[in-house]
Amino acid sequence: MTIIAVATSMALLLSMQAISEGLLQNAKDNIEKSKVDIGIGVGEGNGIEGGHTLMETLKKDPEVRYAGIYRTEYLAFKKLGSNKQSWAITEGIIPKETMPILTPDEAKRFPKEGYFGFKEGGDPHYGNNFTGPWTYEVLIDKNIQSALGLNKGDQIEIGRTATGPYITFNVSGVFDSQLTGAGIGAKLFFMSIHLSELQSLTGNDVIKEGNTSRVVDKVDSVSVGLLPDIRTDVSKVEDYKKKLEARYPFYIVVTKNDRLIRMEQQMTIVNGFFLAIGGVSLMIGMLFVTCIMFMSILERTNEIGMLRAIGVSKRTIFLQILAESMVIVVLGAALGIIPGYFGSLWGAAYIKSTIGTSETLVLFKLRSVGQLFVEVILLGGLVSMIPAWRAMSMDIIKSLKRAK
Amino acid sequence: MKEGKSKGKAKAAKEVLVELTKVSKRYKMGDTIVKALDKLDLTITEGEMMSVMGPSGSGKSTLLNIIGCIDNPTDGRVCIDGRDVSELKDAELTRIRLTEIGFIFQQFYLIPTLTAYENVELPMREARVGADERRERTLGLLELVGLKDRDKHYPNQLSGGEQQRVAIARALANNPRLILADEPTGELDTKTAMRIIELLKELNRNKGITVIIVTHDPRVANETRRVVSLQDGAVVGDTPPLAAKE
Repeated sequence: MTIIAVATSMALLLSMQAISEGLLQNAKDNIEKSKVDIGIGVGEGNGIEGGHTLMETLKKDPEVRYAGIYRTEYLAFKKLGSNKQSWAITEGIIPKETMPILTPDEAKRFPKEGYFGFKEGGDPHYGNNFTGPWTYEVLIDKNIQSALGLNKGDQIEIGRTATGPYITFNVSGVFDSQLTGAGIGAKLFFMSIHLSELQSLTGNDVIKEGNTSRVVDKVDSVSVGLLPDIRTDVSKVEDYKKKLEARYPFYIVVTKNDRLIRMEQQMTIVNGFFLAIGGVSLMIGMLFVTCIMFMSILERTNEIGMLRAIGVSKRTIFLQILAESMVIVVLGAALGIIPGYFGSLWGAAYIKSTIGTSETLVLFKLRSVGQLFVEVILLGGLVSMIPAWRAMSMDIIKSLKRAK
Repeated sequence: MKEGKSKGKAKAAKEVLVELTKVSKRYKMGDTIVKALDKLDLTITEGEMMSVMGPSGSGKSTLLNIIGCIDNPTDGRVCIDGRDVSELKDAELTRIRLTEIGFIFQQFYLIPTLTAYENVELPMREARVGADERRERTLGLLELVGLKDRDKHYPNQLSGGEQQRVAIARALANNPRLILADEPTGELDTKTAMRIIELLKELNRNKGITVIIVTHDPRVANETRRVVSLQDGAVVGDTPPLAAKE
């Protein structure tokens, strides 16, 4: 029973650790694989003004290979003629500027025709201060496709609010967001439209002030890809970052390295949460060990009394109880490794089904297993000292009398 | 205290092995103070075979525990082989119990998960006796108590008398000079009890080991050469050695 309790603790702790490490590694891999070397954004507020101009300026920098601008909004959508609307996370992009930024794995999730589905690669509606023609092109994800039964060439209504006004868009293609949200009970929907059309839909294009109007061209972020000889040299990336910070003091410039550091900081919190769950389980396991050893020495009070009476030292009694306790801890910890392995796979599968991702979210490192094993044993040794100390300190006469 | 020094002296003249001077032991039970021993004086010379008798609560077991260094007197002085044991630290007292005193209990107190052999060997392991000597001595002791062929048996496979003989062998493991037996025949039938007493007498006679037996049984007491009677924690009778029993 006690061995099972320790094994369960070990298994839970191991699963948590493997998933935590898997999540961190996955996030790190994604950042490292990303073609975005520098991101520019704002900490607070409603975005960067003059997004298109900024992008064109950055593209002229000798360090820059490509730059893309984005804005993300939560837009209502519904089937043509339907009254029932849903909401989708909608990304406004300039397709031909976004294409080079996608990794091969990301590109696989989009249609191959045109500009991964869009017929128009540029941003014609941006034209002359947002007076150019609309493309009415939209890429929908598989979740919208299955929810509304839409296919390429069909039409969909998209609006800024639930009550509209709605504009009819043409489905240019379907992509796989890899996020279903199935496990959290709320389906996640994603769409992508031309940036300037999203800006116009949401009022982030032009601000009317009395009789005059001003182009604001608000975007959320700018993604910058650097030339190969720059992006592989951390100091050159840092130099360019400093240059951008000097040029745009109100913007936040983030390198890959910054993202990795921030990711690790965020994962520390996740790790802490996971380890807290495992830790509580471990404490319960250790409590079992302590209790069972206390019961054992209680049952063997007369034996311990006799041993002390015939000259067995306190040290020997202490070591004997400690050794017995450690056998339970070591066996339990060892037995917990295999269920811990399968538990971590199950946990990762559960997370994957919850958010619908297909990425690998579990990392089972032998070194971590060994480290955890040693930690559990050390903790077991520490808690085992309590009953061992109790046994060693028993009064000989009382112990013998108890037996009588 | 061991071997050369003591045995040489023992041959020359009977030396005092245990000396209790004005020993008192008081316990607190609730609000009342119980006097287990009251200014008790007692001298035991090496090679004696004595019994301690008295009604329940007279202080017999307390006396044995104090001589056995598992209890301390409240007042008075306890000397074993000339050393005042009340001044010794726990580790030193443990060492004395291990190497110089052999305990025999009424309930035998054998470890049920160990064989007869392992039970006898246990104190030798604690005393760091080498493996070869340990084996030789253990088998010798089992033979001495007539259980050599029962060495692989566990306590629950042995009769009461056999278990007590294993306990005697265990008490002899580290060649003690003093054996303290607390009602060793209390759980045995008369015939077996007498065999056990006979074994203790043999040890006393042949090996010169001092034996102190606490007993309620007058037949057991009759087999010893000196009988100390206790009442209310004080010696009320101390018969002289019976030469006729030699």
